[in-house]
Amino acid sequence: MRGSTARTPIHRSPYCAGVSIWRSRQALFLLVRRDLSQKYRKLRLGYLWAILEPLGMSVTMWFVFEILLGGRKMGGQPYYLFLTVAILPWWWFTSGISSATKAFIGFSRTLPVSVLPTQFSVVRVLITRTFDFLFSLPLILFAMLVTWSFPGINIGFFFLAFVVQLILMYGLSLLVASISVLVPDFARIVRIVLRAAFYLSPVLYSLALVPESARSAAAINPLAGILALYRVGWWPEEHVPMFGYAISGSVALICVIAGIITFLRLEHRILKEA
Amino acid sequence: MARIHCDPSLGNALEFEDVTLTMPRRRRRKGGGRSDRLRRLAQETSKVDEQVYGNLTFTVAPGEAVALIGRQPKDSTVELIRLAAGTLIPDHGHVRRRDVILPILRRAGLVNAKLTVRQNIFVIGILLGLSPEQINERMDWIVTTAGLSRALDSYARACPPELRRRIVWTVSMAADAKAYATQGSLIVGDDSYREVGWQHVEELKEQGATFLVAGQNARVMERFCTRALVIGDGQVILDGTVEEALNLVGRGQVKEDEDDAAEDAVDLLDSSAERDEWRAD
Repeated sequence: MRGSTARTPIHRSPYCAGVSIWRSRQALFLLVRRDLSQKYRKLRLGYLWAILEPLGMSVTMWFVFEILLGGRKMGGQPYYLFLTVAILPWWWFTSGISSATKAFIGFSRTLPVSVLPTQFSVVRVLITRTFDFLFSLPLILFAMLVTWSFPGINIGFFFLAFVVQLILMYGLSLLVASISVLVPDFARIVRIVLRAAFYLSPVLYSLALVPESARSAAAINPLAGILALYRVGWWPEEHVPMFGYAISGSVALICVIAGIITFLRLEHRILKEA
Repeated sequence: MARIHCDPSLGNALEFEDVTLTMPRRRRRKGGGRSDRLRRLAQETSKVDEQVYGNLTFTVAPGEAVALIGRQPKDSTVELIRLAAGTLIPDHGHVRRRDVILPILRRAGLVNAKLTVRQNIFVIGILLGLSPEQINERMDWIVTTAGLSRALDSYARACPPELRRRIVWTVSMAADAKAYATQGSLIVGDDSYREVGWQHVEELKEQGATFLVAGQNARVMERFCTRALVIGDGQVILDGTVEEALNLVGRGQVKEDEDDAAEDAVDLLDSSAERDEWRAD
């Protein structure tokens, strides 16, 4: 009845961790599914909340910046769509990174007895958030119908932006999760940084409105490049100059490498804290 | 930093080479105010790194059952079990293993009271690297071996600690590893269940499984283990038969581990991720 099976070996190097996460993908998706259903189960409107929350936020922002302060145009038109296209990825980013601060702490009791790779809980949190983001995408469709404006061929960049953001978030999640185990204050720092990043990233405004002199400084933020890529499907003029993409991209790459290295350096200490 | 991986070409089941490990220990403190000031005056720190093992070297051949015994109560063997299984990484030195070594630590909290027994079996199985299908496949075996037929769909909070230990043990054994590192959990349960346990582990030993046994009483070690290592001050001070080890340490010293009952339930399922979420304004 109990045949022998190939089991997941314990691997700690990044490549091997990837392989063993892939092998434990069934368990991963079981837990992600459970995380998602757990999150929405108690709510009457269930999965609709994945849409309703960002909807509320984007309508508020639109009302404030288009109706109340509408004198100066802050970005592409129609502004409501302009806002929605960027707010959803931003939401994904901020909720993913802030829940990554708790990824290891929340599961620390399982680490001494688990043969799953140490990164497992970080990847799980990230994938759960990614599904939240995917569930909220119909909101963009809604915004397109309301404003009756549809994307051109450039919409392909939307998927590129998705992939780049996913990779960036993987690195940052590892970074944030590892440091917050050892320095409990770090979660609060992350919160402040994320709040600042909301205004520093071109979510509410277009990078084209930033004065020429400050534009390359603004492009250091990897989200600047990513958000521009999300938007070019509707507003081709949102394209950041190649130079800007290069800066954003290399900063993103540095973040990812820093995240992986930090995790590998701190892994033995994370395990000791468990 | 030494990384841990399985090396199928290795001749031994497990090799420790010059392993050094320090663990952060927090001193438990009482009182505030005055004693706090005194502590500051004495420059006492609340968190100290304590060396658990220094230059530990030994090998375990496949099929051996090795008893790990601490010379004194302060000589901890839990970290040795975790190092062997790879859920701890040594500060220096290397730990090499041929196959996966399954860590089975005695933890009352491994069973989550908020879930049903069936869900618990899944959670523990996943932690031990089983896929959901493998768990389903082995469910019958787990249920009959642990004697769960009536409790399977009731909540684990209704289970006595006795039964919880059995659940953990049975799922671990269902994982079918070639090597086990056990801390107080080779043989668990009451007398009738211990017999079931004995039968199973002895069968595994005959099939050539490797065992590291820590935190069990002298009788269990005498009956099961073929070799003993005594750890004192972070070193192997004796490598011989179980009898020699017990003579050195004293039979009374070797006690079965108690559960740390105060431990929280394992929250593999109930992630804290959705709690106190922060929104962009």
